[in-house]
Amino acid sequence: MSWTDEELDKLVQDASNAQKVEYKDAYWQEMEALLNQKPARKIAGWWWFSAGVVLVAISTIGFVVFGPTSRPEINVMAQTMNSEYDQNVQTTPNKTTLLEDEVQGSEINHTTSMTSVSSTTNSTNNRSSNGLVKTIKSSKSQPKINLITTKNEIQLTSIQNLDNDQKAFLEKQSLKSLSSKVDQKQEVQGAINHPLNVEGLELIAWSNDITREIPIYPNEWKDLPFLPRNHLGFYVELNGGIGQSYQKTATQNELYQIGLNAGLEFHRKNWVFGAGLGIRQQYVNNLEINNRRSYYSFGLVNMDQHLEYDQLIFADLTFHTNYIFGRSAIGLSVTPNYLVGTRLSYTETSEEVFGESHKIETLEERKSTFVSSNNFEKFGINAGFHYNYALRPNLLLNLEVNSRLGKQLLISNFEGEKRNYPLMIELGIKHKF
Amino acid sequence: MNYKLTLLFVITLLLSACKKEEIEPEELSEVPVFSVTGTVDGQSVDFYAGVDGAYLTTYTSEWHGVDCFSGKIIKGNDYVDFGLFDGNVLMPGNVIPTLGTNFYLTTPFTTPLIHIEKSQFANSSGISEISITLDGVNVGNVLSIYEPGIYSICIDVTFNDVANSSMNICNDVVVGYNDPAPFVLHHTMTGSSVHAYIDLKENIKSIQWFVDGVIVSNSPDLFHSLTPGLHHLTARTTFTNGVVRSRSIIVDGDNQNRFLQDIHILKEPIQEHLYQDYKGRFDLKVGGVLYTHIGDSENTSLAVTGITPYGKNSAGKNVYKVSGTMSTPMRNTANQSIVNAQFAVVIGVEIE
Repeated sequence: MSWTDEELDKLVQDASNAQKVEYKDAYWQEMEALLNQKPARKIAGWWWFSAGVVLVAISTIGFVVFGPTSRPEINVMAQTMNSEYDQNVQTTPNKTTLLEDEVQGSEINHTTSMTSVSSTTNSTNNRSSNGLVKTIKSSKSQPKINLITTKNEIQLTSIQNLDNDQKAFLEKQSLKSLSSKVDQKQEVQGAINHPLNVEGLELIAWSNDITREIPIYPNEWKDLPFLPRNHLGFYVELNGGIGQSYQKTATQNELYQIGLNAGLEFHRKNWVFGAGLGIRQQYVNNLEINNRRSYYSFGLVNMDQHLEYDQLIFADLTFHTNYIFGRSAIGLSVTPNYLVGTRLSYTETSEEVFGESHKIETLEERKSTFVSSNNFEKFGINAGFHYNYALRPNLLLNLEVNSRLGKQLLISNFEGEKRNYPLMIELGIKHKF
Repeated sequence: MNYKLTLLFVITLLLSACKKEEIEPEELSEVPVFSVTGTVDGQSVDFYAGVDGAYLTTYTSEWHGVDCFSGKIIKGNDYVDFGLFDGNVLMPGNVIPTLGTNFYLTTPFTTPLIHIEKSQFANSSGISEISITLDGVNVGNVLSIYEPGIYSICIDVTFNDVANSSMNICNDVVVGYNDPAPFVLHHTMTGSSVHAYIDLKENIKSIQWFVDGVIVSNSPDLFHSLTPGLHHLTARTTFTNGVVRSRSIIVDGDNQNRFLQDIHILKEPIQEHLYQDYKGRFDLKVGGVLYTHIGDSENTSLAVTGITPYGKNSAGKNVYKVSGTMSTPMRNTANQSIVNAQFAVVIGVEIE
């Protein structure tokens, strides 16, 4: 049904007779201030479409390379500003939109905080027909970052629910400077140099000046790596291991080991190169030598020796290189080592013959004596593969498989058959400074 | 700071693990260490300690109060016995001979090293008789010593006086060795006063004079008034090298020619190269026959090429390995014939 001319006239008259807005200078000044602000850059729709295609492509490649994780299926999607999203937000032109997500239990409540802005957003797990939406499923204790989102950048403004280490570190990054950069609409890259749980976060990039940028792709759960703070760092590692014995005997073919290492690591992009010093103590079971020999002195001396070694102590010079992906790293290690000492129990009986009927017998016994023995090859080299997993920013779990290469450790005629390349499995905790 | 402490801890662990003890046994010989090989009377002889049941035993024997550092390789009933006489008699401790020492085999003396009988004394007319005791054994009134050593000689003298006075006097005498304190005690009488002195003035630290066991003076010379009768007069001399030697004589307070001189005055002087200091002895028994060396200075040679410490024997005494060669005539004690012998010797002797 259409409006008649009389009805339109009446409508106009009613509007002109309505109460008018009171004039105030403050309103006019405020408007002038708003008019002086630079307009937000409008990004052409085609740019966002292209970015979306690139992101999808990169996400696909990343999925293929690194595989799916066992994390719960939570979609962290990059917030992309497009015209469809704008339609969901009532904003004043040239104003930015502040989104603050209050996470409560499994529900998401969205509130707005800027007085001059009001907005509503979708916070469900549904995908809008106009593009990507944000889905969040996290608990109250999860880290949370408040962001300012514009059409072309995402910036950090504040943090919540981080542990003390994370918060302390980020505080060091000077949120004031970040805030100032926010005001200047400058992209903040490298602002975050600390591992954070990405649930609920909307990050495009993750990097610092030591590693390359690690992109976060839409629809991908990204377990962000612990980025190193400095190119050169110091580490200490304590490890233990179990391995094959140096001799094949009927029983007790294993040995145990504990070790302590310390050294320096150089970080560059996804690579780590390290060197250090260490000491290892091995507890062995079946290194025995039985000698019988005769020699001349005042008369003929027949001597029986029984040597039993139960501990070996090595000094290590370790070299390793790792490739970091996510919180994991794989690498190679080469460790020249020197046998510092061994622990020995020793029994020697000798019989000196004087003529046909007279003998003098002597017995010498030593228990658990640390010695430098010539029955072992002092210098050796171990090599192996290892896998690291970062439990915390500076705490890594290290799993290594290695073997002694080159010359065998045992020189003399130990009881049993010598084993070539005995394997050792080590598990260690590594702390970085 | 934390990483520095950790690094220091690791380095400390490494350093603490460095000091270790070698437990491998001392250098052991795969070949016999001690041996005597050569010929005697054209017959080959070899003794290797550790071969065919042969073994070395080391010991110190005493020859008339002087040590002989000896070693003996025994093989069944046969043996070879070698020794070196001490060259440091009456000095404290033993001085290990060095390769700079001239080594010889001992040479028997054909003339007495000391001869004692009544006629040898200056006042023999006043002496009725003497009775001599050698190392506690009475040997009569004449004593001739041919073998070097340290002897305790006591003389019981009876004088030609109305009362047939007698007195006993003892002295230790070194013959055949280099005496580190060679001096003679002299005396003269003026009335009942005695003037006594020793004929060595160098390297003397002190002299104590005793009359009948009572110290009467510390002067270099003694001037003392004696009571009537016979008296013991003793000079105890301390030398700067630590040697303490005593000489005793009999003096007469009545000055009636009743005295007995220091018997050291009766020693026969010998050439220094004849002293028995560090001389060797060598005996060999093979096939049941004992051979002893004859120290003929013209046909005997002993060349010592090494004297090195070897270790300790079963008695805990130090053993030295003596290496050398020797050539000497030897006496077959079975038929008293003289035969030639040459040996290469590597033997251990006990020196403690």
